[in-house]
Amino acid sequence: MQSWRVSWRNIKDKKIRSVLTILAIVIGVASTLATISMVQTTNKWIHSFTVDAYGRFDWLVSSEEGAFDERWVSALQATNGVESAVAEIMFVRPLDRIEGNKTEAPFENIRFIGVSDLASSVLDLKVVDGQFTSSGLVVDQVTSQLWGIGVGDRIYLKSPSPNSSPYLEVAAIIENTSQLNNSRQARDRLYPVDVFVPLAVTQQLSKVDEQVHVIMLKSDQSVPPDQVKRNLERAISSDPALYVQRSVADTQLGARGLGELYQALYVIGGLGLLIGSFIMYSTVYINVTERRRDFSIMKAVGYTSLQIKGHILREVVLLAFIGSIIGIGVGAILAIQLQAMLLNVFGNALPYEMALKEAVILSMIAGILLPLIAVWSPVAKASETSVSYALRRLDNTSERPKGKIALIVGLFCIIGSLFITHMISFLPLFIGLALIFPYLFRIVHWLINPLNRLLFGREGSVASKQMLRTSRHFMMSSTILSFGITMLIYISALGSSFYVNLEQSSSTPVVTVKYANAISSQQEQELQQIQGVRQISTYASYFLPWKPQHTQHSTRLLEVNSAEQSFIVNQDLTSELAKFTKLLESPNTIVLDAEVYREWGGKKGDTFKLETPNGIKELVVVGTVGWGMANNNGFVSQRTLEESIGLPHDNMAILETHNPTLLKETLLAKHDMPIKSIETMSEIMFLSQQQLQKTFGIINLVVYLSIFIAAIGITNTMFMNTVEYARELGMMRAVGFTRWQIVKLLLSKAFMIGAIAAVIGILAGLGSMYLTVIQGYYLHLPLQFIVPWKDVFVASATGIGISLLACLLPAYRAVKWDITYTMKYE
Amino acid sequence: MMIVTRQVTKTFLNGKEPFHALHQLNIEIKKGEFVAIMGPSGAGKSTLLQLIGGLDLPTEGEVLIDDIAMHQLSEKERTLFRRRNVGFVFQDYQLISTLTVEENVALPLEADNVSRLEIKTRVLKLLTLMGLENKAQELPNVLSGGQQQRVAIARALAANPRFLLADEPTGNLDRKRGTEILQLLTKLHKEERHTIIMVTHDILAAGYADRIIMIKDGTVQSDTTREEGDTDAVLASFMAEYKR
Repeated sequence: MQSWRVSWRNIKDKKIRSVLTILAIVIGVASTLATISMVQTTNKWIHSFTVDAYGRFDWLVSSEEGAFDERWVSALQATNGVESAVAEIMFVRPLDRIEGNKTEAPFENIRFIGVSDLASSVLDLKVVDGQFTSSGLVVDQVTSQLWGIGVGDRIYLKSPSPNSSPYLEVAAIIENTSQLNNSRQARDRLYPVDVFVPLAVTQQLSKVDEQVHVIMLKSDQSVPPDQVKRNLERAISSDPALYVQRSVADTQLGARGLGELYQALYVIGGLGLLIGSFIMYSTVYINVTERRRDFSIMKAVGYTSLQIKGHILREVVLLAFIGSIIGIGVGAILAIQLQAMLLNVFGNALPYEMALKEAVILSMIAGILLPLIAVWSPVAKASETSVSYALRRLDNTSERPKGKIALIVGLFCIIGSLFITHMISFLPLFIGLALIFPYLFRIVHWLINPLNRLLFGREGSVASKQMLRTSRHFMMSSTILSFGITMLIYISALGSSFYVNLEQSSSTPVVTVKYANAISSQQEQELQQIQGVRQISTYASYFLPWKPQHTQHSTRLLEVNSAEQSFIVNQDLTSELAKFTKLLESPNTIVLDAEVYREWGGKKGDTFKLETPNGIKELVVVGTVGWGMANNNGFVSQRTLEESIGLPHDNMAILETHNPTLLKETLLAKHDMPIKSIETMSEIMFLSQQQLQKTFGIINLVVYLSIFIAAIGITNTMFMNTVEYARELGMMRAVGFTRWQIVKLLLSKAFMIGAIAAVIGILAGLGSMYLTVIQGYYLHLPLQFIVPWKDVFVASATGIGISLLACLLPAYRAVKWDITYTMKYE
Repeated sequence: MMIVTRQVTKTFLNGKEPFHALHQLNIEIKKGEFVAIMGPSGAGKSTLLQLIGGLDLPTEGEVLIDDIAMHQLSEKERTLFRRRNVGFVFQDYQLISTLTVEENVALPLEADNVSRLEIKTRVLKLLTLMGLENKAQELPNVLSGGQQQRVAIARALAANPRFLLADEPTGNLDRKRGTEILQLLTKLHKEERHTIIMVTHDILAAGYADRIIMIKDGTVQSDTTREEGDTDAVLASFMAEYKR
């Protein structure tokens, strides 16, 4: 007990150092906890959201022609093995006004989802207010709040004749549900707001009497799925246009594209821990350096090496424990806040549960274990202090990079990484950079030194010489800061590349329309006659299930028509797809996008098994293309769709026009169009840009957090440096260096740390981006190598600025020291 | 140059108890003198040296250098005064381990922004004077104690100071190397006419000085010059005291 008390007293005696160390551990533990928790919570949320949205029913019955007779609902409900069935029809209409609203409602579209049984267990809707009726509107809490409406209020729809606006009365308000994807729409007001209505009302509004788009069926779990499928196929056999599909809750669907975010989060968390451990190492290093005389005396009076180790480790455990406990509290708050921000990007209004348990355990273990590992070397050094140490002085020796093997291996790793066509190439890149860092440090130091001398004069010159000869601690701080800057530049360059892709796409003046029905040639002609339409192209887009190894996926199958491709997406994809047009002309062939290709795991020439209306079909993969951030697509020819897959009709139209917004309004005003969704390309891209911006915003936030952590590392290094060289600073004051000159000397060191970190970080960030572009090339991702000049400037300023700021406290402390005292300091 | 201390008292806190390191101490040192300040441990010798060098200020009384009262100077003025007028030599050399011999000697000149050419010339001259011209690029830790102390003396002389303050300059050296350093200081005093104030408790070291000031319990116990002929008696009495 006495020993613990002594350790606690030692901690209290060095208040600033202890606080800084605890702060570092707090940040390390908090960032680890936050990142683990965020990744787990997001995955859990995506999983539960997907299961909730798609896992409520087991089978879907659709028609190749889009709409079909609603009488099939009762027929299928009666099929052996079916527990319940719900039919759905969907269409979009513009909102005119909301009752009671003094201000005119903004231009908003409503997607009416008409269902045959609102109370069905398939939907599992939970009423908050009112009740389901045969004619009333059902809105969720988000919409109720957005529109400021309650049960009994009316909403009016736009009509061609201004005197006869049809209206609907709100019958019930339900809890937010994954069935209505409203949060994002409500916020952005670009996508339509989803509402439920009884089937008959929808049919009446859209003038599609007795028609439905899809029937969702829940199986009786006691009947084997294959048996249910056979029964359903037998039941619909009289209508060849109908087909049965398995309902696939593809839990990967929402997680695709989050890999980079997760990686960034894990890196930040790891960085936090690393810096925490490094600071712990620094603190213990100073501590044992200061107390070596004490240890030698302890040894002289009979202490063993083990006892001395225990003596120091007790302090480490105490600091780590205090830091971890506070870190867990801070981390939990941070995780909750960041999680809310992250899910806001996805437009989530549904409740979610934070996954904290595992994160708390892991970060607590890491928070205690890593500092212990980090301090092992200085502790071992302290325990080996010789008894005679007390009689002699400590020598400081100059440091130089050790051996050329590290340089050769490092360069080999970096060059090798350029030739590895896999994401793993980052590993040799970073290992290589770490190995050659001491050399890079010296080279960049040499390059920056003239500027340093210009800014800090003679003091800069003296500091520069000292830095080179005691580069170890400075190098560690510089490495950590440069890692943060690498992340900043990499994220920025990656973001810029995505933005450029999106900008190229958004310049296309088109409106994309998804129809509930298959588009007939007559409808195509009608569309052509609408004022403002310059050109039309139609194609098919269907989601079909496929089964990679141990999971179930659902991939969007797009028809590729070489003459019309240029409307669909950006030029990069168009030109990439054009390469495969000839190959796709062969029947039963498919081109996969990079993400599906990766998940599929096969190679060109292998077969890709799809569940189609015509049963399981094996399509030969003839190529792979990238499509920026939009993934999960397969491209097939019209012939394959018609002959093999059994989906002969187009259901998507792309309309080229001078004024997409006006055309969108015109189309929505035409009541005889069974539109499921309608968007202009600029709207799609605007939303993508917003999502990209917000996602990168969160990543940037954590990147800046890592730079802040690095600042603590630098403060600690500077403290360590001032403490370690306190005697020398005192001597310099004695021989005539003014306080300001000492400050300049320390600022010069901080400037060099920041500037070297900035230069190396920027180069490493751009190098990483270059590797990503190479990877993108092999993965067919249309990434461009863009140097984000603004962020290069920001990173340089941040690196240097934060380093200088981090130095102020140690510098202030150093100049306040009494000269005669510091000269006795050891 | 005249160094005068008038009724100088320096008080430290020993826990909560005040402790007078110097008590109403009065001395005068003229230009060109080689003075040894002697006394037992804790007598206040080093404290006196620090006050004369402007490293610290007296609690009471005043230190005057050519009629300039040190306590009336600002912190920065005192630093500049030190830089241009005082050369320090310490028992444990106080060299910067991360700078070469040449860079250590150049340090006060760097602080004063002296031109590179002049620094080079002056440092080379001093290192030659110290017999260390071939060690210019070495780091201090590869030098012997005597060599390190010579580097420290070269540094103390770099800014052409008006007086040299040496605090136990031979304290860490063996007899042979200590004698070399003392001979060097004597040479500087005789040939270069440097004013030297040396704190020591080594009788042999004090024997090189022209004047010996004995301090005990923070006050001057005796002040004897060689011309008066009784420095040997002072040393003998110190020896007797020391043995007791």
